[in-house]
Amino acid sequence: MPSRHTHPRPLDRLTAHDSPTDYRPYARAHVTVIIGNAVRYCQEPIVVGCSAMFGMDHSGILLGMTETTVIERDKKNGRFLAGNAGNGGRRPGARNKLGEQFLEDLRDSWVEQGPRALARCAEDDPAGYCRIVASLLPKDIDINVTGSVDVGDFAQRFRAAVELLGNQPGPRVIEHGTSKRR
Amino acid sequence: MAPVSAAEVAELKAAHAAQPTSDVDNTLQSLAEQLGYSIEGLRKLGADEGELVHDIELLLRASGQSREDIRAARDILMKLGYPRAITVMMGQVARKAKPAPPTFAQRLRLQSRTFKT
Repeated sequence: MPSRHTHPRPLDRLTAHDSPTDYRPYARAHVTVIIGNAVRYCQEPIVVGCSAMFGMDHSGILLGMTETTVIERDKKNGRFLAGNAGNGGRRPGARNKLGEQFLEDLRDSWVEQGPRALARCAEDDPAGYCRIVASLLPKDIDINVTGSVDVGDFAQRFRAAVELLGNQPGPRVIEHGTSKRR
Repeated sequence: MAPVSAAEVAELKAAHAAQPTSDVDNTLQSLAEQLGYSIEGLRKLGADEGELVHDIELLLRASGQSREDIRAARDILMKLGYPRAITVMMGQVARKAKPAPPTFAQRLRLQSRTFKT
């Protein structure tokens, strides 16, 4: 079982059996970085900051996810090196244009063909039609008919309320007699 | 709701006697806590006020609580805002309930009196 560390742990000491909770988001390591479609292997240990979980293959090479940010700057003037995220990148929304167009076409097609397709599906394959309807229902229906109440939770709340009233019953004790000893 | 019958009381007592004593949960300590927990559980099951009164009366009579304990629990539940129908019923049950057994000191005093005479 991997242990949880209270101090930051270098990424290059991780093994394939470590869990993602065993490292800290910032460390120095040899990292295979994936930025978009480009895969790079950094020769020198670099400081990486990750906003996503790291994965690791069986040979122990750490694989950064696409959300990994690698800061590569010129050592002399501190500017971004060529090909880095600091050089502008794609325009916002450019990647989504194709998907948006497809969804618009799908919507137009569905408005035209959808009702007829559904009616034909219901006639030809009633079981499949029922499956479609059933798949649209919420998966997790919480029906709690047991009426169970958590005892510990209730006792805590009840005692807190009684304490607020200021008349908490004292513990039961064995009374001793008032007569004096001889 | 029909009043609690002797048959119902006997049935609940028999059910209690049939339960094993090994898995007793002592989280709830006072009678007020136990009644409050029962009321909350019954409400979760969808019981209305009449059913609540009936079931709590059944519980009190089957468990053979003393009148002092019932009255102490009733006072706490009343201050906590539990339904008036329940607290009124508890007062009525307390009037018919047996008194609390004498404490150890009271028993000692009784014994000493008997010894002297």
